[in-house]
Amino acid sequence: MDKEKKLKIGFYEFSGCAGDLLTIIHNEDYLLKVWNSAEIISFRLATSKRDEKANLDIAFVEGSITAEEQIEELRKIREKSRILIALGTCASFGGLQSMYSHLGDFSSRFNSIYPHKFTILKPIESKPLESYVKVDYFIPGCPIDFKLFLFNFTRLLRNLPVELPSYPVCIECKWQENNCLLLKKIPCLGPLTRAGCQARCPTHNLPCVGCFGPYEDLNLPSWLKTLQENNIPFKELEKKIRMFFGVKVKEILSKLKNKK
Amino acid sequence: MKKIKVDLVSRIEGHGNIYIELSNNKLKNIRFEVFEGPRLFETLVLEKTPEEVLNIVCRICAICNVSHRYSAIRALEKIGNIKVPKEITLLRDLAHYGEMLESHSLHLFFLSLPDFLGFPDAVSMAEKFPELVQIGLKIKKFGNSLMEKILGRIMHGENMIIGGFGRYLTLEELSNIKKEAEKLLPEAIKAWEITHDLHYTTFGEESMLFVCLKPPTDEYGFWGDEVLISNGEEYPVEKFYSFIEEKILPYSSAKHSYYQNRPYMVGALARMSLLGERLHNASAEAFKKSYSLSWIRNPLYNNLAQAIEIIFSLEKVISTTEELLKGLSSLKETSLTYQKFNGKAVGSVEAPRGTLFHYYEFKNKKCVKANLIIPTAQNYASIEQHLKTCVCNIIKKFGTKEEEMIKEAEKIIRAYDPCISCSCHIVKTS
Repeated sequence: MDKEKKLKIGFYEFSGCAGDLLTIIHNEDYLLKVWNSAEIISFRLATSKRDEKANLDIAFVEGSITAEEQIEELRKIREKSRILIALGTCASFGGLQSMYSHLGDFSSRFNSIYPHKFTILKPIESKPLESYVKVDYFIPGCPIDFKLFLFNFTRLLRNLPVELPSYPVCIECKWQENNCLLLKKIPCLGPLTRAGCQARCPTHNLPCVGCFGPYEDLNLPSWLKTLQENNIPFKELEKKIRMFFGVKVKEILSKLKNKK
Repeated sequence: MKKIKVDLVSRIEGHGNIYIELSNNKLKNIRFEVFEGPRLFETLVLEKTPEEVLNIVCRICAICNVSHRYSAIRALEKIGNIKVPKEITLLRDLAHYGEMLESHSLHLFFLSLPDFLGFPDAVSMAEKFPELVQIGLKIKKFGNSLMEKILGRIMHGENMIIGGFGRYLTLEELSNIKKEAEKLLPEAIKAWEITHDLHYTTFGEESMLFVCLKPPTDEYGFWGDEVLISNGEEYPVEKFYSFIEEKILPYSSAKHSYYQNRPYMVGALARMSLLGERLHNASAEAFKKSYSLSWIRNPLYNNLAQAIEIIFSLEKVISTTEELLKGLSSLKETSLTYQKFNGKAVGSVEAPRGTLFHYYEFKNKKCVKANLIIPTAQNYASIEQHLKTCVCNIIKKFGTKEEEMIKEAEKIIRAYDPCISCSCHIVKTS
């Protein structure tokens, strides 16, 4: 590809474990191809070279927003980017650290851990990118699945929109020919969670923890019936839903309550 | 008064600045400021079951997620009084060696060596040193594949659980791992030779206190229930954990740890200096050739210590798979139920960048208290001490040459292999 025609791309990170950007770095066979297929404007984890002023075609942003200063930084990235993509579950839904965002008691939780005054940052309740700026696409996962990233990265290079699996983990689980864990009375979040991970946990005889976030088009009545039939208390699953579904929890729980 | 600031040091995990203040050509103040947004992990695990705690704590850090999970499991199995067969421990160790290989090769070849060879990143370094970058990529890939095969995913794989594993890899996969490690060993030795021949500047030299875990046998290793200190002292982990003093600083979202008012260092350099005599075969030869008294003064040698630990980890992958090929088929898929889960314990392993402590308290199968002490938080005070010495020595030699100061300061910070996300997300609950 001609250098002038290469898309300008930036990778950024807010609060998270860096697992999504690392997933890209860790795919040795493709790393150099990804690197050379675009003009990398910023990727602080990988290179000292960066250009803060250049406009971007695509910004990939990992992590949730947990400090006021990050809001400003995120807005700056948004302003200079044609397309902004939330990379990973933290950026998409708020991640683990948004587990208690519905309680609204951030300052007391914060003070229980950091009793001293913070002078370098103004910490706030963890929220996903979408709470502050327009997000064009989401690529969820904790961490993201590299194949799903690469598929969408090449689509974006050809100016095509991001496409995610439009089905829950259960479908991938069936493709792996696993026995259903719910039928063994093990609380599994597969039916509620977006596919994309190849049903890794159920394939290891472990329940899905929901780390790809919610799949929005759920068959709730059927799911609730399965829980009832297998004596799995709804409350047990509610706590698990809160772990990764972030700011989407409220919406899902209210849907569930209506159906019950 | 002159102020120098490096915003967002690159090629390190997380967000950190260097701040230098000079007055009359003398160093007045130097800080390594870290400002990661808080994630409040200690509150996230409260009220959770032991299994849910594991789902959460591995996600503190993508680079050392196995160490977090392994430390937590070691604490939780103490609380639940759960004993596992030898083969389970071997398989966990195998995944842990995978993490060492992944983390050390990421740090050494991609984050640190570009400093020594004068490049902004590994991709540009590859033009002049293609072989070195290729070796780095191969070792990193192998480390990741170990974690993927054993734990189900290259990071945050859930397969390592209390009591064992949800599923075991096949004997064929195991023997492929062994073959691959045998193939990589000569390349790791080559990478160590290159790292051995690098020029290690001496600006930051200053006597150091090292801390690491004492392996239960007389071998080199990455976990234990006792702590070794380079002043000759030894303590059970619970005791040492209670001795760690944590100081709060206004410019850092992570605390700084001290032992008897002294900064101390954890990580590959500490382990090599305290346990290097226990090595065998190729890693022992490398250690004998590389080790010198400068190691106990100069943190830059952490890079070389990591290169030797890469050789050690590959050797251990070979011997561990040999043992597992005999015992693996005896293992059954774990499904554990327990009536009671009460008590408190510290679980500890060596993460790639140093000793990691996980403390939990459980009542009726629910977590009521958690505290984690992270390697990088333990290293901050030591990092700042060496930064100070380094800048003072540069002023003595070159005057206040800004470029030189920044270059050497960044080199020291990177040599410690800091993991800032880890260090900031965890602080002691008062």
